[in-house]
Amino acid sequence: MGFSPVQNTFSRKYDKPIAFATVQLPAGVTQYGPGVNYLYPISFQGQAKPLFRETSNENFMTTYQGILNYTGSVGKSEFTGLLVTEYRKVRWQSFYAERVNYDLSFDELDFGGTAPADSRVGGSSGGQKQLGYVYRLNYGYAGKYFAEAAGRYDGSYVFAPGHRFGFFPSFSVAWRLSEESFIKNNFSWIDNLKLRASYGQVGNYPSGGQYQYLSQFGVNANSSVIGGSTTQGVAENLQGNPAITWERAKKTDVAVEGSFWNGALGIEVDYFYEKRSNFLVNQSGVIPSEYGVTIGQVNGGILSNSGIDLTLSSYKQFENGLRLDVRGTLTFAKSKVIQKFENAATYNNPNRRETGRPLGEQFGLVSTGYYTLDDFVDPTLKSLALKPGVPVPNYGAVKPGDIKYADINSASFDGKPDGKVDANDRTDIGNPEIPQIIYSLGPHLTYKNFDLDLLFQGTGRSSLQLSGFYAFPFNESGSATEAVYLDHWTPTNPNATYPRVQATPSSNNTQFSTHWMRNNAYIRLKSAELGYTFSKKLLGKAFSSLRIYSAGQNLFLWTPWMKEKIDPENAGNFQNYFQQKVITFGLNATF
Amino acid sequence: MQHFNFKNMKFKYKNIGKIFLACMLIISIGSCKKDGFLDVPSAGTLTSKSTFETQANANLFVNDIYDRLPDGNNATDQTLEGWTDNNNCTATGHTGQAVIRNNGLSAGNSTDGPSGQLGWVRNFEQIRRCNVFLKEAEANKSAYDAAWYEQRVAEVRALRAFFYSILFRNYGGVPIIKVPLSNLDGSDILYARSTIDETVAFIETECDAVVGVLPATQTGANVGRMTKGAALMIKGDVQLFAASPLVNKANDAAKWSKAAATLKSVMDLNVYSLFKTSNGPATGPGPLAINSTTGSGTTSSAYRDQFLAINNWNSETILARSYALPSKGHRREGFMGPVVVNGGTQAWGGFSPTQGLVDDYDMDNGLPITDPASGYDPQHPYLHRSSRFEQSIIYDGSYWQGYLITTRVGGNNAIDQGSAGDISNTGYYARKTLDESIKGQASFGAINTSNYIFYRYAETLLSYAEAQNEAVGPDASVYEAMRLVRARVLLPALTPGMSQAAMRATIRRERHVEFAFEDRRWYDIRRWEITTKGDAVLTKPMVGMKITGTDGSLVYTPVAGFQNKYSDYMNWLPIPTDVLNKNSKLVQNPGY
Repeated sequence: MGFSPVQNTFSRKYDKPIAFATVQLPAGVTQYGPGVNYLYPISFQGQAKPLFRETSNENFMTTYQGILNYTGSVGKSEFTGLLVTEYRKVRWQSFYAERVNYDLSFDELDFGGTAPADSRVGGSSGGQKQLGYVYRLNYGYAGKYFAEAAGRYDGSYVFAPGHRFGFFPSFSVAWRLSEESFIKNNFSWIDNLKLRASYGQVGNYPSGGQYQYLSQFGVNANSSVIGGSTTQGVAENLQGNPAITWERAKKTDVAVEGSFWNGALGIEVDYFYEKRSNFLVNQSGVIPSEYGVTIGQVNGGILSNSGIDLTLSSYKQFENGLRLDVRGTLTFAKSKVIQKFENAATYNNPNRRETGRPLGEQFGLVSTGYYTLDDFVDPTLKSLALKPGVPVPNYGAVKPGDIKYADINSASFDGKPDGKVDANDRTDIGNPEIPQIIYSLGPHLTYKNFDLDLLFQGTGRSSLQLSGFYAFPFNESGSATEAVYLDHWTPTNPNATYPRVQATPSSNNTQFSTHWMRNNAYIRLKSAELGYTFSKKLLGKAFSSLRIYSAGQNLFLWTPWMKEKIDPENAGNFQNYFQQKVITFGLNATF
Repeated sequence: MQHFNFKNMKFKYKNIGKIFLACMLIISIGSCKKDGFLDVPSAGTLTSKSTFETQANANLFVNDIYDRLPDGNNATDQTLEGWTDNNNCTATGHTGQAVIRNNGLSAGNSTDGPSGQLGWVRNFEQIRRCNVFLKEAEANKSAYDAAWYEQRVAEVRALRAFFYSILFRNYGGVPIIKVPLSNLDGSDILYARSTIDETVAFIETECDAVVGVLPATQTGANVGRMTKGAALMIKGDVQLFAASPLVNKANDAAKWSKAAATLKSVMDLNVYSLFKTSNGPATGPGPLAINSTTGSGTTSSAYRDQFLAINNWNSETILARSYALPSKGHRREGFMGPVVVNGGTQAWGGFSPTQGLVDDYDMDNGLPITDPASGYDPQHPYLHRSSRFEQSIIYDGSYWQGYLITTRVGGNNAIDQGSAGDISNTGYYARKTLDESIKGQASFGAINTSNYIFYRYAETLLSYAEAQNEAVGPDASVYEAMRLVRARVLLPALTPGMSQAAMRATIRRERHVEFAFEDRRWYDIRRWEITTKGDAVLTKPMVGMKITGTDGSLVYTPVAGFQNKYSDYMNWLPIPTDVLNKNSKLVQNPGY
């Protein structure tokens, strides 16, 4: 009962440098100019001679699996059962050999440069082991009552001995009311009606990688130079957490699904509540900077996520031949951080406390516009001292046209201004980037030989903090966007969207703040298709069917609260390519 | 994937054998009460145990601590000189101009310095490495050779003292952590800051403890490791800083005496001497020659040549970071060298020395240019300047790699006052600390292996002269220390009979030029409290030299460039907000 595929890959790479010409002055000439006979020596970037590398990767994966299935029935009761054991073992190793300085243009390892430094080798190896037991028991009675109990008992090499196994059970029950005689006999308009509920647990691996239970000491192949040559070094990379174990998500789901009036109304509503305990979190927020090494994640977080999923469908057949089908979906989900490692600077500040707020909630300063000349003592700006009463920002000197922030709190978190704008003035300024509302609406119209299919989709309750090249002109010696060029602060354009342009973005103007926060709710016409199907009569015998259509994708996008041209589905670092608008015309013919 | 399916088999007893096999498998795996069978050794990493159970492995751990010494030669084109009045490289993205000299330092806008060498977090990382070694090595010392153990422990303690000295000289008193912190054993991991006196005392004690163990010199395969002199110099430099006006507000002479005594003990080791061997033709054609059409040229190059890779660990070097090919070289010429050479762009021009620095170089008769007897001619400003000037500065009319550099208006490296490109904003480049035999573009292959020197003997002498002058006045030993440093660059001895104040000014000027481009100025201007007071070097504009006209009729006009802004409280760096947030016991430096 074992199966052991071995996956080997072997690659060969021969890199031949490309020569290019450079321009040089002849000896004794110090200036470029007319009448100079320039030299054009051939040059190479990096190695001047070819390099050849062979790489071998071996992957051994062995899986042992045992499965027991059972099906049976007694009267109206039906049973099924399943038992699976799976043991998985992976071992991989990779190896490469490389020669450089090929005089002979021949991709064979033996023919490379002969100096000892011309030959290089390297390699690494690793593995995995997992064991899992899975069971599932189903019970059904008369097609009305259903119950299931299932679960997994999983063990993994990722955790330390003693912390390797986790048990993750789940249960569900369902009741098809529409099969009950009191519904069947009294409400003929009910096609289907079902209530269901489930509870289950799922185990997840740590996001920070394997071996976090070990204090890892890494080898640095090129460490300090002692005695004139490079040495090997060893350093502590991570302080392990020996107690790290499975992360556990507990999910409860209650739902109603039904279909009425022969499908004129279809509805499915789910309410879900998920609680992830043992959530693996970094402690970096509460470990002092003097600690001096990264610490493995600990199972210390608690996170909940709850909401509803709603699907509605309907159709209407009109007497004139028009038929309308509509299907809409809506998901609303909100997360909540119940417990995390949060340091006093945010936890004790009600404006900044992350515990109790959604995961990924965005915090920053509140912008109150731009500094004006009125904020400075010296109207000639020879001194950049701010007038008494104007809060002093903690992010370097400012000038008119720089973003001004509200001083809303002090170091004692009493909610009173302290004359300084600093991290204590940050507050909750935006929803998480992941939208809390996602919806779609898909009407489908047919009339005689015409058909029209539309799909709208959109999101709500999500925020985007602009930054980097998109928001800050000349960031990292980059360029500026057209939007900045057209509408930046100048003394004559004091209400611009963007602050004054600086050769390098200043710390003050690049703080997380409401100035750069955007509500990126959107509605998009994701796809549309209009078609016409020719009638049989018209076609005669040449075709059995013929349809012409025009279809489009991403036809229309509306972001009511965001002027910047950013694809809200693909924001990333704001430099991602927009989803393209595609329009197709087509003809389908069957002969 | 292949598996057995027992669906609908409950009445097919002929398959009972297969069912039995399946059950056996399940039971056999499941019966392992211990989960050790899931072990997969971590092939890519070592553990604490495997690192310290053998001397050979533990030795590698120490190697890596040496690798954490500040990598000042690989700090791209930003150096600590850019934080001071020495370097007006006005790239707006440079921390020096954008933050430090722009009055922009704050807890929320803190900086770790070039190559991160001043960073709070980074230095405590190095300190942890030292603490881990000291703890684990002690626990495993029965497995080690006793002499090896004693040496490495002494080295690591000296390294830890050096990392602490970096913290002290930038932040003041810091938490003193002598063990690797652990959040697993219930011990306290939040340390408050020690006072400045306690921090200094800790560094002194640590250095004292290892001076007797460390060898006077390291040879062969050990070159680069800590020595007696290095430990003493770390201590002496910290004591000098602690005796200086920034810390020693009451001007307690005992503090100066203590520093002078430590520095004297380095001199008394009789291990170090100033490097006086030239490695190339001082004049005449060739890349190593220092020639000039507007200056004097020079007849010596030993001062410059001590920074060449061939002179690594010369008689003057006390503590340095080493480099080696193929993978641990540096790119100093590419980042810091003159921009246009031989008609092509070679380098980033990271050094734009200011007129303020240039003016502090003596005339070749040993007099400062401010002395009416010096013979200084503002319209021939480079004539008869000291050999040290010729060896340190590239100016209009001097050669670099056989190419005549002209920074005059219309020249090949014409002063770039508007900072439109990389070319110098002041009309000057640095010559010293660069290897003239390495072209800028070639340098980007990281081919230079010259040391980044933390301490050299000239600093011992000048620090001693300063401490001794402050403690007892300009006695003969002060004159002698000054004479040694000046004689190497062909300057005459100082005229006897100077007042203490006159000697102080002379020593400060000497230090300014002697250590130009060596990242010492940042520490000196702060400890002397001349950033905003006295000379107020960080509130004045950065001056360059605009030269117009043609050979024979050049006109020299100093021009103000970037206007420095600085506040006195910034003489101590701010502790970053994030650091403060994580440790409620830390108290910020005043002013932030």
